[in-house]
Amino acid sequence: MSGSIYDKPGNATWAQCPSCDHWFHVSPTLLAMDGVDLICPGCAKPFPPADAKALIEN
Amino acid sequence: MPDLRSYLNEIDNAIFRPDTPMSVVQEITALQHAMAARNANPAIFVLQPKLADGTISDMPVLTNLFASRELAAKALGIDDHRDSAKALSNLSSKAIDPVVVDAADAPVRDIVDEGDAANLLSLPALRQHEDDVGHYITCGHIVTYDPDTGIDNMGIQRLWVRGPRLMGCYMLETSHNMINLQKFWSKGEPCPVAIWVGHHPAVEMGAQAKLGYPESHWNVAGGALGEALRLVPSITHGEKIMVPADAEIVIEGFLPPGRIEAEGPFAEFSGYQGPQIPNPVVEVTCITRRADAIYHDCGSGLPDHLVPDNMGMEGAIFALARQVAPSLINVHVPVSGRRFHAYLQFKDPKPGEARDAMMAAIAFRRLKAVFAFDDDIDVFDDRQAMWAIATRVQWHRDVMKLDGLTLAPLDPSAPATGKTITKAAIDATLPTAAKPGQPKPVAPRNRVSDTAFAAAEAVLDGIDITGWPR
Repeated sequence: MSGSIYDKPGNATWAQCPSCDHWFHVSPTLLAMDGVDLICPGCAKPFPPADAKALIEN
Repeated sequence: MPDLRSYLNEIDNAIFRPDTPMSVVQEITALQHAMAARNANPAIFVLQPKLADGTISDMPVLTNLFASRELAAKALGIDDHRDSAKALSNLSSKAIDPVVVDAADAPVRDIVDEGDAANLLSLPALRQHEDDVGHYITCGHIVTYDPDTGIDNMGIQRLWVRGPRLMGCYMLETSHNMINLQKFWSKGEPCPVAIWVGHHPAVEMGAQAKLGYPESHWNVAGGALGEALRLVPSITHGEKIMVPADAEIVIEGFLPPGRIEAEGPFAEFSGYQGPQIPNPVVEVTCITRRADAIYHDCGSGLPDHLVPDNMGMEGAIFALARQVAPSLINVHVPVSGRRFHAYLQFKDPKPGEARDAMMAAIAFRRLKAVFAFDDDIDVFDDRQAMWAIATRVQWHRDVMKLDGLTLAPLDPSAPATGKTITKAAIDATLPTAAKPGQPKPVAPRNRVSDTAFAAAEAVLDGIDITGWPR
């Protein structure tokens, strides 16, 4: 039944820190910005979105 | 002049003072959660806040100040919190112009730290929840001004303490402070800002009134207090940004143009974490404070955070809906619904009137659903509200869905894309009687007589029921 308007697809985007593997909640708007680093809440390391160890996008 | 400490003296027996050090990293907020779980809402005054490095701050932390509706209403001069919707619906009409005082008469100028002497890390700002990106100032009233008119704006917005003189600043896209910032930035200029922390709760709640743009908040805050607010020019911006002379702490600075950085995640009012987002930063130029300043924190997503804002919403929604529905007698924005639900209460609404009122109320941006009840339902009791919904609503008849309305900010269930949502209005009122004096054409509710109820209450009077099964 994929594609039904009654499916609950999820709406949150997650990034994984390349230094400490911590997953944290980020906005798609932030990921789309040029030159703005993400900042890991786990280890405080800043890193470009492209350097994220993994991303989960919805 | 009434201020935070005069208010604390008034409510001395409603303050809980832990007698041991408590960490600013989650422990103080955990105490608020534990209290909320017990439905106990005293203010919390932590005399020995333990900082992240293990040292004890000499600045005490006050939190949970707004958690009690009863106390919050009384701070505004409202005897019964159930009357707040009506009382706050015309707050602007009670405005009192502020007065300007000399810096020598301003307690907030006891200590002035400018330039490198200013140190945000000296404040016992809390890291409230797991996975918050850092320590946040949660009860900072951010003051900016419209460069075209010079008129101030003010709003509480979260501030991430990133260093001795740097803060991330959450600025909602539609906020009036963001309009002011964009005006400065469009000219390539930094946006001047001052942030004040701690004052009489009437001032803090009045300062949050929902006003037009540009419209000064100082006189409405004075009206809420019942006397003129004492203001003093800020050190950095002079008379362009005034600050309350009787505040506890003032932080001054600029939002440099085009400097956008990551801010968050932060546990939000919805009870869910808001994501890391792009936001401006504040570069701090000066911190002034009282010699014995009290740091005022607000527990995000807790009653402390929700109660004062929801009471303000009740006033705004009452004013909107009452225009089309004279039978509207009350509005409650329950903590259970965060800021997404409003309960409207009617006395003998004419056919269609409850729906008219719900259509007016649903336009309020933050709401996702409004509910209509009769006056026999206590709209301040969620159990009664749910009972009415369960027993008076037929879903094919009593639900209205409206598509394409403004998205409620930070709604954790909002679609990942799109800028509008569907809202709902649910009519849980009963049909009206065919003629005056006749019973309503529905089954009567179960009742015991007043006499029998009084007798039962007398049996229970004075009995300790704390050990009884729940």
